[in-house]
Amino acid sequence: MSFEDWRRIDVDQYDPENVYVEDELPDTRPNTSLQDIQSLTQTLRSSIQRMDIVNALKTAIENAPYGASEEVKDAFLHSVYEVFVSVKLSDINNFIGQFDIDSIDAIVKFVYVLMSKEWALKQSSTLIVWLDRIVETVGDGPIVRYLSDPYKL
Amino acid sequence: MSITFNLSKNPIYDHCFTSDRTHVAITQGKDVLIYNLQNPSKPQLLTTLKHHDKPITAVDISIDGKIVTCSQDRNALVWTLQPNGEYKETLVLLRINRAATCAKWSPNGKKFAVGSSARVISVCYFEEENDWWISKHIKRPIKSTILSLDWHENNVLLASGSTDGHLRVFSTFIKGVDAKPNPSIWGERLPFQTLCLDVNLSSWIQDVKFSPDYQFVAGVGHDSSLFVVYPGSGELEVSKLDKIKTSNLPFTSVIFANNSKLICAGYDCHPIVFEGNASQGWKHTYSIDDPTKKKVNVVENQSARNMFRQMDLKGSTEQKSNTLLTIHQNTITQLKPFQYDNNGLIRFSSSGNDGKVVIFDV
Repeated sequence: MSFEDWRRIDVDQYDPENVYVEDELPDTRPNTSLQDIQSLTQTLRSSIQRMDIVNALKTAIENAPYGASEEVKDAFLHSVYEVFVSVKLSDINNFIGQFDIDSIDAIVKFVYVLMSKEWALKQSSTLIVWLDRIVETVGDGPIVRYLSDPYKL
Repeated sequence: MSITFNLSKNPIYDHCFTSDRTHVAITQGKDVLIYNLQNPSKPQLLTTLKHHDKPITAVDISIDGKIVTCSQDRNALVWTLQPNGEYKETLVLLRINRAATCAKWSPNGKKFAVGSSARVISVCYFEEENDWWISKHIKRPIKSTILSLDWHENNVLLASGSTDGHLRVFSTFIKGVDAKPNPSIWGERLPFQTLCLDVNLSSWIQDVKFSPDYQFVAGVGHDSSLFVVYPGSGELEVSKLDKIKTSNLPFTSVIFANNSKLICAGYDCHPIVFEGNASQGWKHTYSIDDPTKKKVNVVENQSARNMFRQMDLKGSTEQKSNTLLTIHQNTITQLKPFQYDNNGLIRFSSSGNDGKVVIFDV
């Protein structure tokens, strides 16, 4: 073996401590059930009818089921998706101004996760506009924080 | 005001000035180059330190002029100046199986610490009998690569930032090398490997620094945030944790100007200043070399060919220059304090992936 191959040696294969145990995250909701999400969806829908988008998103951010099963997460994303696409594009700027930086980070996270779902592609242009306006007003920080966020959906 | 030195076309991962501020050592791939900067318009290359066979990740110069380098080849070397003007290297027994990532001399120059991807911090000290540097390992509870280290003035406490998201402060007390440290907010009894502070910031900690009064620590994370951590009186107690989210790209380096002012820099290519204190929290106040305050670069080449090239490459006919508005044209890799007056830091230096070393006024 030539010396250039040095990096290809798997130095970890005989290491007994070669396991990375992630820290437990506080504030996750692994026990969220589908019923919980259904009632959340009802709340969000009534907010949408009142055109109270800011509160709808705030409720969604508070109840995001981090650490729950894929099924529950997916149901949650569906209802968040309804909130995002119910907005008139021209109003998005007004809404963004009413969130603090932590909420903005969460919104960017929702947008990114939704853009990765096939069923959300129909109106992905709306999602892109959300992201675009946020980056315009807040900068690149929320995107970086989405990438390094341990709370996944 | 700033002074720019274009030293290379290749990235500089780390740099360090000598204590008399006339010479600078920079990393260049597998070598360290030492320049004489007494004539700022003409940097003069003095020596090349050649021995490592993988890229060098860090270089540091002690108060008495010893140079330590560490590299991805899993070794660290201590270079001492000989009477004939050449540097002689001494091997350090790090005993690690992964790349070394950072190295820092203790303030008195008797010990240094090397962080590595092997999930250990090697605390190294000189053993006279065998004429080599040996190390003791700090292992627990580190779970991942160590990215940054910083020493307390008592030569015993060491702050570290890691990719497991933890900012920790350890004791590196070595019998026979260190004097017993005075009790402080960090603890009273400090045998080797005592954990004095451990906070989970859940993002890679790219850099960590003790405050000038050694009462708290600041760290920068890979999530574009700045963290300021105040220890409490109890064991491992944190009395206050400030997390300042920014709109910037992540920071790679942080230094204190004084107890209420610190400077960060990183992927945004210019230094950014935060001010604050324990009671009011910390806020971004201004930027140094701020690109938003500069005019857009003049277009150098307004040919038809350039216009079509622009449309092809960027999909726009708008003429834009290829250079950034900041002095550094690529990520800033390291900030180092340069010059102090009675009120604290007045100048600091930065090195970047663009091969520049720049001295800025605070």
